[in-house]
Amino acid sequence: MNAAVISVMAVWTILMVSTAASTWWFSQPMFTPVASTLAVMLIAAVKVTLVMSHFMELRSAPRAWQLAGATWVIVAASAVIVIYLL
Amino acid sequence: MSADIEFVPTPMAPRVSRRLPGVEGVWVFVFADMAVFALMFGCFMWDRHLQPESFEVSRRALDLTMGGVNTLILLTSSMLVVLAIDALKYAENALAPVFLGLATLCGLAFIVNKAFEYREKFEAGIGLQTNDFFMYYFIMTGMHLGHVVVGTVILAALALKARSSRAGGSIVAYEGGATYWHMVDLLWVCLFPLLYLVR
Repeated sequence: MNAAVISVMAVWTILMVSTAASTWWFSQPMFTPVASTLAVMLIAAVKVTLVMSHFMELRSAPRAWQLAGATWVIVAASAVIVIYLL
Repeated sequence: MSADIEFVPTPMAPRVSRRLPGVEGVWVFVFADMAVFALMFGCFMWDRHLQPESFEVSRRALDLTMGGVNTLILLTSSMLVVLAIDALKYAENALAPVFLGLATLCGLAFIVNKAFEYREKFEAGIGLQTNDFFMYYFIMTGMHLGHVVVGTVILAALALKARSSRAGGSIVAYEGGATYWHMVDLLWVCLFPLLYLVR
């Protein structure tokens, strides 16, 4: 198994575990709605970044495309969180 | 004592060769599509801000487990697509159609799961015109489902291409399909928490 495959499997494991945590743990009533929502949205932003960098291979793409990806994540996540907190 | 100072050049760091997988046009389309969805995320959150009670009651009618399982399915399919591209890059051509075939099955599983979810809602009398939450729910998940259907067809076509004698050709077509599929996955990674988990 080459290093790239090991890296992909590691990222996939993180994505699966964090999805399970968002779905079945942070949705529990022991967390306040604000804490749960912020945790879930931040986890989603990290997951999107991992998909972009490791699955879509943006980490080895030209800088301009990396910037476009990072801008999308920051703008989308900030808009959602700011409007939620209004 | 005179010492001859020998000039030893500092080794230069090797230039990292940066490369965009597939063709640039696919990426332009992907980012345009993602921009449209980002705009919808903002509109959804704004209307949620204006009607928090109605959105929260409606959110509770969604099946969290189905949404979560669908997320796990799409993430797994994306991982399989990465493995397929990797197999093609390292000339392990026999593995590529297997990974792409499994990714196609994941796409089909998502579609079937979503169909069950829609049927459950329709049987409960919930539709596009029930309220603003469900209008967003059906429009955003419906648009996404359309992307999943197109992506699944692309994956199936690539699986067949990888099995054929022309599998060893250019990797660009595979990378284009892979990029599109990862976008489908990425959008669901955002849609799922937005619709099912924000409370």
